[in-house]
Amino acid sequence: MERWRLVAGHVPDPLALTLLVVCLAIAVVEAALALRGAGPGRPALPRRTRLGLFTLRMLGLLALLTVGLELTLARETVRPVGPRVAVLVDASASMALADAERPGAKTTPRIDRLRSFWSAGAPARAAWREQGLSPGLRSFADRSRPIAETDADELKVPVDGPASDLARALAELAQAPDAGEPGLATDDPRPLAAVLVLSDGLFEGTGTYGQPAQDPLLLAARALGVPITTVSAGAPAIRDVAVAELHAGEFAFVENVTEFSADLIAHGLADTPVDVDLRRDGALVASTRVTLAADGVPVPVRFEVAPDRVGQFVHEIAVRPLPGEATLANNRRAFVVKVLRDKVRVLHVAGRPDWDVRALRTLLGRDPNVELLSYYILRSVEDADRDDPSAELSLIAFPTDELFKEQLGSFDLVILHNFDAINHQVGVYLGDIASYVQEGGALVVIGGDMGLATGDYPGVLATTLPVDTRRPTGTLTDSYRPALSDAGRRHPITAWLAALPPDWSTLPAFDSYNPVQLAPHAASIASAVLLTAQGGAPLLAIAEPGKGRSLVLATGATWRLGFAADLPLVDGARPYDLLWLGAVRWLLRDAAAERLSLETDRPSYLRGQPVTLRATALTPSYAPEPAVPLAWEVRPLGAVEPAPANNNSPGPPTFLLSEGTWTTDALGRASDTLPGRLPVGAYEAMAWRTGPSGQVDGPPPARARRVFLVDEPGHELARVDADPGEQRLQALAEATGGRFLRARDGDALPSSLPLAELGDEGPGLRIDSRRSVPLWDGPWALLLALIGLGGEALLRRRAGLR
Amino acid sequence: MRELASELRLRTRLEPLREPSTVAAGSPALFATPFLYVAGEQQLPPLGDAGEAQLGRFIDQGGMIVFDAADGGADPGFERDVQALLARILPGSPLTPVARDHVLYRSFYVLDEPVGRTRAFNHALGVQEEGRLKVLLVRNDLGGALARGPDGLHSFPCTPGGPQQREWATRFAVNILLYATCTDYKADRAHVETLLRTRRWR
Repeated sequence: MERWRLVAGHVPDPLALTLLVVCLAIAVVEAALALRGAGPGRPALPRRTRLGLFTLRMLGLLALLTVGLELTLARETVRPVGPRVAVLVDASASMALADAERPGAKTTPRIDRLRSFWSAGAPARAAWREQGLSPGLRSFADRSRPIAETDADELKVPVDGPASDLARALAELAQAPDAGEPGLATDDPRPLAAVLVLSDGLFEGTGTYGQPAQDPLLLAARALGVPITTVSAGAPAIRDVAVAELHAGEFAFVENVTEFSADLIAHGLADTPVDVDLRRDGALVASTRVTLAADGVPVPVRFEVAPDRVGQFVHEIAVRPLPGEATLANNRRAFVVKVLRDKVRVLHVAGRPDWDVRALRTLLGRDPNVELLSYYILRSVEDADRDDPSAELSLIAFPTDELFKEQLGSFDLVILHNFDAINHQVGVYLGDIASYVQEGGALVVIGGDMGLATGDYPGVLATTLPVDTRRPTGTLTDSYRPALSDAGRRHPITAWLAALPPDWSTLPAFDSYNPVQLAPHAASIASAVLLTAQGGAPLLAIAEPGKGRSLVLATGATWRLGFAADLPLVDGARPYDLLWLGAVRWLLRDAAAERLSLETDRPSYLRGQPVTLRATALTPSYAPEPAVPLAWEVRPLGAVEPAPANNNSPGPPTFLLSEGTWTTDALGRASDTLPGRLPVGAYEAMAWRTGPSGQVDGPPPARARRVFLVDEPGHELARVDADPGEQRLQALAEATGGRFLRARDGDALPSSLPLAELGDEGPGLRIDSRRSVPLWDGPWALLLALIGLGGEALLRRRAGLR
Repeated sequence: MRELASELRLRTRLEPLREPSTVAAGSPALFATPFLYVAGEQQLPPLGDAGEAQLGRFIDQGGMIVFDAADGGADPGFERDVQALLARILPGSPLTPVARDHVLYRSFYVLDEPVGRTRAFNHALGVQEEGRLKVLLVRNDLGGALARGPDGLHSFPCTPGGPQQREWATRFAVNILLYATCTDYKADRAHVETLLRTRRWR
């Protein structure tokens, strides 16, 4: 604002100033007495003359004073320099919730209630300014931001903040002027006299504060040291159900029952039944129905699930919407669970001990992740007949019914190793083993002089195997070198062999095999022959019957790949280990069997945090693979490829968010970091191998996949009831010496706010600009003095005065 | 070993070759099987650097060597040479007593001690690493207990136990081969629990 001022350029010393004032006073008094015209010794003059004399006296004195004090007229632009009032407006999402005075009444969004309150308080705000107070508005959610002056009168702020962190907003007000970043409240050097908080009081952690002395909000408020006046925007009646608390671990084990649970908190929905769904990657896994309790009373909802496969999945607990809910945004909570394989449970049954059994047992036994249950037939019935009955043996009974009936489903992998099943009363269980495979189990049949050789796998079990096991094959004991098939060059079990000479010359020869033939049904169960023996007979064949996987190795001689005078190591590993570890990984669908893996640096992120993707490529022998061109992309979970242009059905839209290419380094690694721009939601990242030109020949390559979540920093809408917020605001005001107001009760914005005692830093004005007009420095002042004093002398002379 | 092969075929489901093969330490044929039986007395003949190196690889790749002191405890020379050989091919891996509760003593028969033609020592020595017995040294002339002459009769008397000691020696030899082919199979939880139950019941 602007103002005019008269400024003295020269102020005499006190004695001279006293004399000047006395003289001026005498002159003015004498002139005033003359104006009255009464008094002894004074001639009676007409009133007009007396008035003229007085005016000329005043004019002369004024001119003399102007010159003597060097008076200047100043035009100044000024603004209040008194203390400021920080007005903090809650811009969190809960401010958009509509509530009402009582159940069934018309609801009003909290922010609208607050805007009405603010608009009605315009006179009070004007009074603040007249008191020299400077209100400054800031919105706060997860952090605070200034509100533009143009938006201040109508509180034009979006209310979509992820959390309301008032303690942080207060702390930002308390920061030193030069310590904050640009835009902070501390840019304003004026002292803070008061804070006005406009909110529903649902701050982070509302309702969980135990000790007031440790309440971070009260600590921040007291540190600020000014009265905080609070205005509650909420109303008591609201209708809503929210998934308030989530109880789920980051890990679960496949086939092991794990519990995911949540607490539902509802308001205005007591005794209402509600359906709750558990979804995995968008697909419904389970549903349950619970009855909601009274306002604010948590209702637990639990899901017990046994994950059926390993991997990383986005799970979500979602309450089906009810009519009239204040918001649906709090009806669901998502979380990422990594399903791991518990110890792999392997059943290893061998018809007799031999070096091949020993090699496989040693390999499986040294893996700490394998729980190996072995049953080896150590003697036959004939051996028992010959034995000394008094000899104490360590043999135990072969629990066929327990292994192949009761516990069969508990095994991840069953290995029948040169096992004559029919001789040992296992023939009756072959159907159970077949069902086990069809339903997702993994089966290995290893040849030798029994089992395949003696036709011990007839019937329904044969339908799950890639080779024909219905008839005895016998055993051939010729020395030979296996051959790698075309399928074997690509398959993860044997692809590492493609790097070796194709004639098997660097590997030990085998000395026996079962001359099996491909099964008639081989094509129908996705069979493939990876290795062949003499004459092209299948030696290593795989199949995927039903949900399971099976593998037949028609020889008991693979132990020689781990024990030879000049055994080559492939990428530092024995060929035997590569073959069998690859086989077990493939059979168990282990993610580690994939030669390309993709990881994120964490399973979930807060909005704004960068997301780092890391890929690792391995050679067929599972060594780091450098210089591999890869492509990657990130898209929302469940987004699909766009429909072809000539397809009239539009299909779901694709939301490809980010993509790129990599080339792996010397350690087979590649990574990229996405800036934190992903909106809240579930995403899947994928990576795959590409050719040098970025294109892939043949079928689409397997994609490494990883899911992750982007979440809000807080769970703003987990609690919606305004009552505890109102209590909190009241407590805050009382603790700091402020006032507590309710917008819904018609409370008015007070024209006199409780202020901090600031002493000399009280209200005042700051001059921003000044324009000076010197009144003494020119002919006019002298002319006026001559006119005034000279005119008076002339008039007195004419009036007959001395 | 021929006698042992025969006994194994008679008593167990193992199907060893009827005729054992004899190999030189440096020969590739050493790797025909991962089981090597070395019997002798007095001094161990020098194997040469190549032979010793190959024996080291044999053990590293998973092979098991059984040294059998044919002196039956009468002469420490063989044991001393074996110790010296092992110090060269398995440095830092000394022979230590095989505990009585080792699975070697229950891999097929339940035994108490490693008797042979003699009963001079009540324990065997072994190099026990990586969860397995890499080397076993038997000092009671196990081979002597099993040996038969061309006439089919046993070549040496067993002392002091006579025929009963021979049977125990045969059982110990069977256990060694079962251990070689099954490793610690009989230490599996299922077997241990069953055996403990059985023994308690008895």
